[in-house]
Amino acid sequence: MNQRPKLTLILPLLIIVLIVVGGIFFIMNQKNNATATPSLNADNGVSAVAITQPNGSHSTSNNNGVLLLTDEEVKARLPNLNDYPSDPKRVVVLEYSFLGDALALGLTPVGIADDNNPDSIIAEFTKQLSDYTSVGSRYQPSLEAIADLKPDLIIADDERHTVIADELSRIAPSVVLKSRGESYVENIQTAQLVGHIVHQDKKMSQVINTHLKKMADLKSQLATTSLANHSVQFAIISDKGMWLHGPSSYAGSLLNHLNIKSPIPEQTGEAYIATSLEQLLAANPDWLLIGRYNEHTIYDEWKSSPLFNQLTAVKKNQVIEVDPNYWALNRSMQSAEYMTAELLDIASSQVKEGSSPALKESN
Amino acid sequence: MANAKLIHSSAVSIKSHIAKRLITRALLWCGLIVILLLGCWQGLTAYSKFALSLTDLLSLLMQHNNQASLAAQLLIEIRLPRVLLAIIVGANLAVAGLLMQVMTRNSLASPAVLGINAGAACVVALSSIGLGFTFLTSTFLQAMVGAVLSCALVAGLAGYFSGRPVHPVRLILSGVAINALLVGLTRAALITTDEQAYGVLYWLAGSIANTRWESIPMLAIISLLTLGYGWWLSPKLNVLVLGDEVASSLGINLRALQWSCGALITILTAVSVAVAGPIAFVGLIIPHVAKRLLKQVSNMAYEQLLPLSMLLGSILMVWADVLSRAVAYPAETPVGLLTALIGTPIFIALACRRRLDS
Repeated sequence: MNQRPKLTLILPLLIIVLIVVGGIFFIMNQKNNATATPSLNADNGVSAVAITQPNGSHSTSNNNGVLLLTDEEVKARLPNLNDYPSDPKRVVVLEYSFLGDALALGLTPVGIADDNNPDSIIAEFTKQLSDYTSVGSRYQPSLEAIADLKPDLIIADDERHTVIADELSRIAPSVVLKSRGESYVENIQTAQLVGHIVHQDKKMSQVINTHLKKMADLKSQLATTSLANHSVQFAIISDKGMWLHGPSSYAGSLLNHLNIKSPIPEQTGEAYIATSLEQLLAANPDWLLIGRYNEHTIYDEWKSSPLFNQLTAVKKNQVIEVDPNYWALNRSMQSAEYMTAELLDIASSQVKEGSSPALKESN
Repeated sequence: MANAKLIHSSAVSIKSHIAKRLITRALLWCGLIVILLLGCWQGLTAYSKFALSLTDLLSLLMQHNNQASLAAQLLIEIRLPRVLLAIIVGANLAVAGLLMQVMTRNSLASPAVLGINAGAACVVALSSIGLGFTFLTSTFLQAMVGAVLSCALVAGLAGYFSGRPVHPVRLILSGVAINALLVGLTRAALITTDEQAYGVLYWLAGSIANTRWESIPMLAIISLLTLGYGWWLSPKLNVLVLGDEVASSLGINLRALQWSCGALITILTAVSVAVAGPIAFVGLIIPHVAKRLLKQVSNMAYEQLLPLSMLLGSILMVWADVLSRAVAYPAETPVGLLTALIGTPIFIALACRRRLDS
């Protein structure tokens, strides 16, 4: 009589305890592991690698510190090149990063997933776009709208659109590449893949080379400014909280590429780190660049706390409001150049007594 | 002679029995208060990138100029309101759960059944995408309005506005239906916007990381008044447990009591959700733990059950907050996740033991 109740008690308890312990381990692992990149051989390590030409020969080595994919790796990732049209005229892109790559090759997409907000596309891109159709939000693009456009190529984000990859393939030849949560290096590697898909490897290679040379130039300019020895942190502020874009995010990895220190170099687990005032104080960056998503944010509420004035960035008047469309949304080579130029601008405006009103945050 | 001896010995044993129970009860309360204080201490000083300790507070008392050290300021400005909020929200949710279970006479009821969490979440999500409710400026207001609206919806659907006393099962059924509707609306709102969705999803897990002093006074006053009124209702609640017919024959105004309880539950939960986001499980589990503890040491009168639930709720929230900083240090985990992880095995254990007893 006493044996059976014990079993019916122990077994469910054991299962529940296993689930709870598993849950805790799961949470800890999510925070501690780098976000896995299933497809690309991405490496954030700063190792100088020569940029290869499409025909396989090495160009003169250029210490740009960006690990690009070799031809073999590109071909291995996209084996069925013949399934894709060699001269696509009607391209649909479901993320801003692909928009940047397409425009860099001179292709004008007919359909863009722009979250139903044309203002979210940066000026550099809008200039080159004539007339496009919005296919809805990136999270859930409208398949009917896409099909209506009769595209001959669809480029989608592997984090959001893997589930509809089959449906997209039925509409047009489609490819799913990494975009959300990518780092600066991964973004360029994806550009290589986009170049390969539209059969314009050479041209994309040239575009990338030009970009990397320009970035190297800007990087050496940055090294002479006041930003060189200071830590810079980019964060998004909204009415729900503040998210620091850590070293694994696009902004964070770009700053790392430019040899600018991060205040939180060890937090590579997640790209976007939810932050409280206490953690911001602990990070205490020298320069704080904030991208604002709402009129009234948690950050504005923190301003009334006496601890807010203990932040180094606040004390030295080094909090700058930047456009999140460039810094977070439209991840691309064009926006990287804009971001770096903006950093140079910030550094040089600090040298002079006055400050450029367009960039400084008005308190 | 033998009878007198018998009576005397039984009187002595009864007295010692009562004394033992009193001592056990006192030990229980003291033990729980000590656990709460330990939790507060950890909540104030532990898991911070700064080395915090309570002695830093002493520097505040010593120095009368405004040059308090950074650590002292951190403790006062950031940690202390956070710990206070955990205590208040824990107490609110636990008592709301207790009242809910009394009112519906169902031990699986929790304030979430009234759709309060779902309503607050829905209005917050809809406001984030700019759809309706645009006149509500802060997340606090959005959550309050959502909580009260959804509660009114559930009560209306259950027939509380019709003038007749309502069977509790009907309340639970309407709560489940409205819950499903609101959760669906929230999901739809999140799908249509991407950048805002990330923030809203984070809020939906419940977090007290961004507490400021400004929110504490109003919350404290409302909670104290509501909890006090709830405690004042305890004699009537003791009778309500016996059943509707018995209660009304003993002179309880059933409708008034149901309205009072409903209003208390709504206020307590709405104010907690508005400040901390939806936090599940506290209202569901604490009443059970409190009842089990009290059964050992005393009768289960609501005069004692209510304060005990408050204490246990505070303990759960304070320790969950400490763990929320510990689990993925230095990053923070939403506290709602941890109350669920802590609460579930306790709940299952309680359910299993109840099955063994009966």
